[in-house]
Amino acid sequence: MQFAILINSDPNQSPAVRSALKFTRAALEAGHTIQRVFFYQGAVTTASDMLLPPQNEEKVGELWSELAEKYKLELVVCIAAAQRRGVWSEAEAGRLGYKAHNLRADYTISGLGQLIEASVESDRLVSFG
Amino acid sequence: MAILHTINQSPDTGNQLLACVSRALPDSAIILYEDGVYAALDKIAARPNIELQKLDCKLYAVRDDCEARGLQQAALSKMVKLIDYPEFVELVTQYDVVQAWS
Amino acid sequence: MATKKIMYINRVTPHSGLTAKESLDVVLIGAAFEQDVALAFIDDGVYQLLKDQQPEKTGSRHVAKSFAALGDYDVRKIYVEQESLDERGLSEADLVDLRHENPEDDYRDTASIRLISREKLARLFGRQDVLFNF
Repeated sequence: MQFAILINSDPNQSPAVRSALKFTRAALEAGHTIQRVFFYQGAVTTASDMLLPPQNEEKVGELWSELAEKYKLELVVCIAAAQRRGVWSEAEAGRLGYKAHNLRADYTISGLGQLIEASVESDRLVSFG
Repeated sequence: MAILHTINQSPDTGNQLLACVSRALPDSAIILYEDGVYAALDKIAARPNIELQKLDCKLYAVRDDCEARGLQQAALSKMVKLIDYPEFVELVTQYDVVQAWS
Repeated sequence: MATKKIMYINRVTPHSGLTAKESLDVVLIGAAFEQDVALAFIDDGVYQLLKDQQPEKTGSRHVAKSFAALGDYDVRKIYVEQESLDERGLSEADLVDLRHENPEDDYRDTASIRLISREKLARLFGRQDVLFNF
């Protein structure tokens, strides 16, 4: 079966990003496919590579990167939600005159159409947070 | 068409669970995960305004989330089956649509 | 692209954060995909539709005003749960009057809001392919 995954909550305020990771890993290990993982609302901060949690805490954004590399997952961050919350790709930052950019490798920034498309083209939408 | 409901909030933090139980139909199932697992405590599940036993739904709670919060299996409602993520995935495939209460 | 039944379930108040606005953004973008779309307002979500909101008083956003555009985006099915109104002492007269031109009735100007009982709406949830919750 093919799943679309939607994550809505800020990883510092909710375990949703981590629960979604466990679900996605279990789905892939069971032989299912993931159409797309879409980060929306507060969850977009997962994709920032300028977060520095204390050394004994895992970086959940990095865990998603590892899973994405292993299974060639598409990790998409909503552009409007990301701009509100300070997550910028190099291209978007350059286009709008911002000096810094912080989007992790393995993530792409795109529009909400990607969420709708994923939910229509997959068998199930599973939302977290 | 059967619904798989997911609940990730303690019933004393918000009304997610009440919203779900007032609308859950007999052929549906409910997965409690994250803080939602507190509702699996026997004492909470049996509260007059919750009464999970009256729902006629299948009830599941994610084992890791229970254990992480120190909930002992003996304190949990007998109606609730503990599951791991592979079973969570399997349940999503068995139901027609997921209602992720937020 | 296949056509699916998509329902957006709105359960949050309109002025305590971005959720109501970010939910509406999904609906408006989603409209371009020509799916079978419906909105449902339940619990505190019914407050989003109150007609006399003055969000400028607190610097928040006017989602109720944006809902007026839904008809132009071919979003015509807007369900409001009767019990959620009753529990709050509200009635349909307290809500914004959302309209659309109904293609099945010679494009007649038609009300978009439909009151529905909790039980019927719960059954309708089960007939959707995709449920979005905000």
